[in-house]
Amino acid sequence: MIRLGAMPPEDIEPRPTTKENRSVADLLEDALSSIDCRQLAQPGYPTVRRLNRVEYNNTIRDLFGVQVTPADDFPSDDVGEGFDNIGGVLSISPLLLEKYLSAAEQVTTAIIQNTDGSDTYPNLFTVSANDQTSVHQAAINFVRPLLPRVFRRTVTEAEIERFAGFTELMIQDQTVTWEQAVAATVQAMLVSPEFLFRLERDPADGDPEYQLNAHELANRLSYFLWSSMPDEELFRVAEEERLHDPHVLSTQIQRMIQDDRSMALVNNFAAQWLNLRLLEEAHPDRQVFDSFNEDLRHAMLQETSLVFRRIMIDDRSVDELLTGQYTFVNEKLAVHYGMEGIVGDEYVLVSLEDSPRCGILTHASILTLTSYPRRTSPVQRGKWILENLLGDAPPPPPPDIPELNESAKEHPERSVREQMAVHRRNPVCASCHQVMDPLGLGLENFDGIGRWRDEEQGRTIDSQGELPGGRKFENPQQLAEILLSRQDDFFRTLVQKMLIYATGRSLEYYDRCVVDDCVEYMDRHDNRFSSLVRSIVQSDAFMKRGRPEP
Amino acid sequence: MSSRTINRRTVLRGIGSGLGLPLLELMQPPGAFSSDRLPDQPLRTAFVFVPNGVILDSWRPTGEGRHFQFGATMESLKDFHDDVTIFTGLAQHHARPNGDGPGDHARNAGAFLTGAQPRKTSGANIRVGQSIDQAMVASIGSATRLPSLELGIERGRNAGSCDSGYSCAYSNSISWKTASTPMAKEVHPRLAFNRLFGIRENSAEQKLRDITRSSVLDFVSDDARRLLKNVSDRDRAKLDEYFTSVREVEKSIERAAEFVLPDVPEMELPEDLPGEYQAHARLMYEIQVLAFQTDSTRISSFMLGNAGSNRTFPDVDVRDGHHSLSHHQDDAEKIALIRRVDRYHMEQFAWFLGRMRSVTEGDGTLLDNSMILYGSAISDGNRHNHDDLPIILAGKAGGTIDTGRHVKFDSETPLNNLFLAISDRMGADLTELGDSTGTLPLN
Repeated sequence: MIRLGAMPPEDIEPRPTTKENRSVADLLEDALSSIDCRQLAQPGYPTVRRLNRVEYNNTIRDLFGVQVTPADDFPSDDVGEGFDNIGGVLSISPLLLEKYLSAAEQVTTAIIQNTDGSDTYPNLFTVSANDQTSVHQAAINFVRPLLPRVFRRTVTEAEIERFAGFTELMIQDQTVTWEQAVAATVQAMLVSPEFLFRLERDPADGDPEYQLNAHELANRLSYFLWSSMPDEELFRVAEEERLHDPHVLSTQIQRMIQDDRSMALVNNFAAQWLNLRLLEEAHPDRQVFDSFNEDLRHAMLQETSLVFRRIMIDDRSVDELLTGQYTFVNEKLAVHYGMEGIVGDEYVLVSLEDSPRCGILTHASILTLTSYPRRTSPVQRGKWILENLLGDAPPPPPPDIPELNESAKEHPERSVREQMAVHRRNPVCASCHQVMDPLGLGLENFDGIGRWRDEEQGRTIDSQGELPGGRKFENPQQLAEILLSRQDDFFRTLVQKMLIYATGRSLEYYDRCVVDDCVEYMDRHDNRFSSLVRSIVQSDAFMKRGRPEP
Repeated sequence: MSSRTINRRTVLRGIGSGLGLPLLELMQPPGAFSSDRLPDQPLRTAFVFVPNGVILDSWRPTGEGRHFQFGATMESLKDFHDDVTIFTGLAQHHARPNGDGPGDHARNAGAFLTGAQPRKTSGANIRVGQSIDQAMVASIGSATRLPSLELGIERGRNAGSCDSGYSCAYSNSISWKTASTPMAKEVHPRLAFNRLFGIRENSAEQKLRDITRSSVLDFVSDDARRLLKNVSDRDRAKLDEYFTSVREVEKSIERAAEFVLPDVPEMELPEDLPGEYQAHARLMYEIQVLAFQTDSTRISSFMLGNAGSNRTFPDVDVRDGHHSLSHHQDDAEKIALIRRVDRYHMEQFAWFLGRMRSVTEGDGTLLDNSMILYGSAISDGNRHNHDDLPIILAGKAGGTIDTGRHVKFDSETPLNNLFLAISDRMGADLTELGDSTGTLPLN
C-alpha cells in the first residue's frame, strides 16, 4: 500500500514523495521478512575441505612458481551438488596419499632444478649451514618464511622448531645431503594435513557459531575466486587484521576479480554450473555431424567462457548471460554459426543484433551438451534450463514409462514436436513435460551441435511454444525474454549455485534467508557481477561457521 | 632398476616365513568346501563391473548344470566353457530404492560389492558399506606388496549430477575401504603400471626415497593425531581418512622392503588415456594379469564404465550413448545395439580370461587359481531390476569350484553369499558382509 502510494491516506499533509514511499516500504519489508530469518538464520557447517586437483596445482604454482602440475595424475575428485569442491564428498584413499608423496617429490625436484630461475621461491636451497650458521639455525632460516605460506596462516615458534627439527633429523643420516634434507622437509610440509586440508576452527563449546579469523577468511576468499592460496597482499591484509573491514574486503574482492587468477571462477564455477565440463564427454556422431571436430569443441567451450569472463571482468549485469546480444567467435565457430568475415583462431567480440542467437542458451556448447549423439533432445534442453537457470529441477522419470520412440515407430510421419505432444497426454508425464518440452522445443531451430536450421528431414521447424500460464513465444529470443521475466528465479538459482561452490557444502533450509539477502543486494546494485560475489562473501554462510547438525 | 631376474616362486619362498601356504590352508574354515584338493598356489580375485545392465535373453545360457549352451552374448566365451560358472537367481537387494526413490544406477554401483544401502545424499555424509574386496584386504591384504588394485576406464563425471540426488562418489566407485571412504580408482594405464612396478631407479635412490617417505609419514601422522583431538565429528571423519591412509602407505612401504620387486614386465604403455575402448580395457586387464602373475596383489576391482555411463562405441558402430540405449523400451533396434555392446564387453573379458589361462602356474594356469567375477547389480537396463543379476565367475579357485556349470539359485539369493564363498577360498576371516545370509555352495 505504501509502495503504491495508497498509504498514508490522501488527506494527510505533507505528502511523502514516491521515493520516500519506496524506501519506507523497503525498510518495512526488510524488517518484516527478516523476523523469520532471524530465528532461522545460522551460518551452516561445511565439512573440512581437502584441496581438489585444480586447487592443488594452483596452490603449488602460487607457492613455488614452478611449472609442474602433479595433481593431473591424481584420481578424479568426486562431484557432489554438481561441484568438485564439496568437503563432504572429497575423500582421501591410500592411493591418493601415495600420489601426495610423489607429488611432493616432483615439486621439490622442480624447485631444485629451478633454483637459478627467478620465479622460484627464493633462498630455499641457498640458505645452508656454514661456519657462521649452525645446521639448526640454517633450518630455522628456511622454515620460518616458508611454513606460514604453506599452511596459509600464521604459525607458532614451536611449529617452526618442529619442522627445523625434522631437517636436522634427516641430515643426521650420513648419506643425506643438506639439499635432500631440505627437500624432505618441504615434502613433509606438502603432505601435512595443514597443507592438504583447509582447516577452520569450530565454535567454542556452547557457542552456536564462530566468526572466521582473518586468515581463514582470506583462504575462503582466495579458494572461492582463484581456486588457489591467498597472495602476498591478501596475506598482509589478513595479518593486519583488516580483512573484516567491509571496505577493505570489498576492495580485495574487486582486486581479485580483476586478477588473471579469477579465470578459475570461469573454469571451475561457470564450467560446472553450466555443465560445460560435460562437453568433453559429448560424442556427436560424425556420420550425422561431419563438421564436428576437436577444434570446434574447443571453440564452443571458449565462447561460453569468454562471455562469462566479460561479464565478470567488465562487471556487467549477470542477466546478460541470458539476453546478451553479443558473443565471441573465432573463424571456426563463425563458420559454424554462418557468420561471415571472421578470420583466424583469435576470438573476437561480435554483435548478435541481427542474429537469431542471444545469450548462452543459444551457444553451441550448451546446445551440444544437451543433445544426443545423433539428434537434439528438447527434453534434455528443457531440463537443463529448469535445472541450471530456473532452479526447478524436475524429478527423474519413473524407469518403466513409454518413451518417444514407441510412438515414433507407429507414426513415422509425425515430427518430434507432434510425437512429444502425444507423449504429454500421459498425465504422469505431463506434469513435468508441459514445462520442459516447450522450453526445449523453443530451441529446435538449433541442431544437435548448435547450427541454425530451418527444417529437419524436410519439415519446417516450428519453434513456437506456450508455457503453462499462457505465455507464448515465437522464437529463441522471445524464449530468452520469457526466462528473463522469471529473472528472480534465475538470480536465485545463480546465487544458490555460487553459494554451494563458495562454501563447499549442500544448502539447507535456513540458507533461503541468505539467498534472499543476496538477490536483494544484487537488485540494489544493478545485478552486477561484483555484487553477486560481494553478496555471497558478506553472508554469514561465508563469514562464519556453525555447528554440525547432531 | 637393475636387471636382476627374480623367479616369482623365489619371491613366494621369501615371504614364506611371513605367510606360508600351509597357514593359508589353516585359515580356511573347516568344511568350507569339500574338495579334496586344497590350493597349493595363492588364489586371486578380480571383480569386474559392467554398467547399465545387459539384455538378458541373449545373456542367459540355455540348459542347466554342466550341459548348458552359451547365449549369443557369451559366444566369445565358448572356449572357456569348463572355466566358468554362470549364475541365475542372485539379487542385490540394496540396489533397490527401498524408499529412496530414483537413482538405480548410483545404487547399483554403490551396492554391487557392498550389499549395503547407499545413503541418498549429494553433498554430505556419504555412506554405504565396506565392499567385499576391501573386507578381504583387511584380513589378507598384507600377504602381498600391494593389498589391492582399483582400476577403471572412465574418470569420474566432473560436473552436473550423476544420478538423481546421489553424490558421484557412488556412481564412480565399487570399492569402499570403509562405509564412508571410496577407494579411488586408477584409469590411466601408465600410472597404474608405475604404481605396480615402480619407476626404474637405482637402489640407492629407491632406498633414500623409502627412508624419506617413512620419515615424512611418521612426522605428519603426529600432525594428524594432534588435529584429531580438536575437531568436530564430521571433520574427524575426514581427518581419520587421512590418518588411515597415512598408516596404510606406511605399512605398504614396510611391506615393499620385505618383498623383492619383480622384474618389470615388458609392456607398451601410451602416454595419454587411450580413447578407444578396446585398447583401454585390454591394457587395464593386462595390468591385472601382470599384477597377479607377479603376485604383486591378489585382489583387484575394475569398472568397465561408471554407473550410468553414456559412452558410445564407434568401433562396433554403436553411436548412441550406452545409457540412453539401455532404456530401449523394447525397441528392437536399440536392443540390437545394446546386445552389441554386451558382446563387445564380453569379447574383452574373454581376451582377459585367455591371458590368464596362458600363464602357467604349477600344474595349472593362473586362471585355474583365480576367481574372476563379472557382472552388475542392474539386471535389465530397461527395467532397472536388481534381481536375476547377470553374474559370471571364471576360474576354478585352485580346484575348489566345480566349474563348467550354469547354476540356478532361488530368486532373491543375496549376491553377497557368493562373495562369502569367494572370501572363504581366499582365506579371509569373514563370516558376514552386508546383507549376506550364508555362503553359496560352489561345488
